[in-house]
Amino acid sequence: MPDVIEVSALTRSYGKRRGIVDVGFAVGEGEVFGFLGPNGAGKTTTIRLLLGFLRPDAGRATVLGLDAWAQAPEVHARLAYLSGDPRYWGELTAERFFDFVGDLRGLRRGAWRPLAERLELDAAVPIKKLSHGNRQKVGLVQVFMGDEPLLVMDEPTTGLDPLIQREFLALIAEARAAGRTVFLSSHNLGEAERACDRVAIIREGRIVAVETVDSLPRRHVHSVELVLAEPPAHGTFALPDVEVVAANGPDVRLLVRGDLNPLLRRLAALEVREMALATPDLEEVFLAYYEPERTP
Amino acid sequence: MNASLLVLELRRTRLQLGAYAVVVAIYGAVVAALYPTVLETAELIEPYLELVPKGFLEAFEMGGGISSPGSYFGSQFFQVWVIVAAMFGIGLGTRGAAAENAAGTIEIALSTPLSRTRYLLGTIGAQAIGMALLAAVAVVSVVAVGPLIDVEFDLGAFTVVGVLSFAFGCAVAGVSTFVSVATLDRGRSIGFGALALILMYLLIMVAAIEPTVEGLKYLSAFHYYRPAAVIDKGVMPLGETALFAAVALLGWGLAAWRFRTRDLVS
Repeated sequence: MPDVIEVSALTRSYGKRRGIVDVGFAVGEGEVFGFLGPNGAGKTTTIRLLLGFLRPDAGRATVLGLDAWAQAPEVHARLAYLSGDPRYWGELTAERFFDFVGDLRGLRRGAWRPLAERLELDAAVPIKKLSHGNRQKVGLVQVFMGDEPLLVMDEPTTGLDPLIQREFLALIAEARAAGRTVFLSSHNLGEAERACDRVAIIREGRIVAVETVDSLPRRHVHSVELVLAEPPAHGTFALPDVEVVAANGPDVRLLVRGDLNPLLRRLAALEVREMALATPDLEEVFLAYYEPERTP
Repeated sequence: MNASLLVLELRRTRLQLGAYAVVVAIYGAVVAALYPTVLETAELIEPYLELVPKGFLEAFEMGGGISSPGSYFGSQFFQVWVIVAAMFGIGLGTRGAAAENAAGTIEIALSTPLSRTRYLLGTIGAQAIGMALLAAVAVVSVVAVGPLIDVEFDLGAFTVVGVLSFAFGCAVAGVSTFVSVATLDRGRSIGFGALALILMYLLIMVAAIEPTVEGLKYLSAFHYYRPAAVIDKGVMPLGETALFAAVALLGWGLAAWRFRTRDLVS
């Protein structure tokens, strides 16, 4: 599978502020690739470098063999992009907006119509008068209406309502089936698991892992929230692979890396009033797997 | 230049342009309509003008007295038009790069195959067309009133003033475009433009009042904007028009170069 995106040793700072450092990964043709990291990790900077909005300090990014900075217009002819916080000229109707963007992208007039109809978007309304949900649909139509081989999306699911999120996942699946490559950033691991084949995890500007979704460590990490009858004695949860994330009287939050049974056996000796078991958010995965051991 | 972008820019400019055009048209028509009255009362007004320093009168296009069409329209109308055009030029010049970047909409066009240069050319095209329309409205608003007041204004002379005015407006827009691209900050761009114009206005005033610093007038763009001489003497201001055009082209050219080579940091 040839690589659609190749990034090597890509580095970019904003003066004294960190951007990204020595970032490298490759995305194959037809792959849905998630770019995961907490806010401020460097996801948007990487995407802006891929789009040629920023010039790298060092390293190189190529898209379909073209240099992302030096050949930006040629790169843009081969991709559709949805920004993390899409803004529109509100006075335009969605219809006029799609025609304008479609014209710039060389799409046939009205290419947006089937998708707008599928998403039940009233394109005759000025964008500023659309509801939040409908403005989200504008973004989805904009990015999916063409036939470019690469789709780049920066946090596309942030704030999507559940119905639109379902459509989004369906559109991603269709894009994959059509052989298009998708690069999307997210800080939501669950979403990435549903949509992506592989993910890269970026933290503090550096890539810390590039893995298939199936091998994500999160599957073995659990967040456990407890309300006990009384505050636990010191050392109650001093178990292998169990970390006390927060403790406030009888309220305790734990992170378990691996087998839950030792903890469950320990809890059997306590009076537990409430217990919630959850998959942790991405931040906790980073803390669990990519940071040095925390002090309890 | 991309036709779709140009159409979009013009469409987005129409309200702003419409507002400026209405102001210019009404003001021009009123000034023109008052011209016969000014002629009738010139004998009363001109003695008072003689009390004003000659350099000051010349700086503000009143060197020929209030009754000559050049002095009258130069001082009472085109000196106001030029301020309106400067505001319009700064507004348009700062929109394509700095304002769109701040609004986050610049990425819409620049993530398509449209190159940055072609994007900027589209916005520059809209600036030039908008400025041309504003200059045309200024000329038409005066000349069209002529038959209503039984005064025949020289359409050719006023058209030449229109060309000079257009070039002045483009120079302002060109410099504003460059500052907008260089800073990607609309507030700073507008502030710079406004400050530069105020400074140049002060320069020409000081140079007119104080003979020892008369040379400062050459640093002011307003010194090169002399519609009175065009209307009264039929002088073609080729040098001044070329100067404004050169400043406009330089500003736009530098803006295009800088825009192509800089980061887009929102």
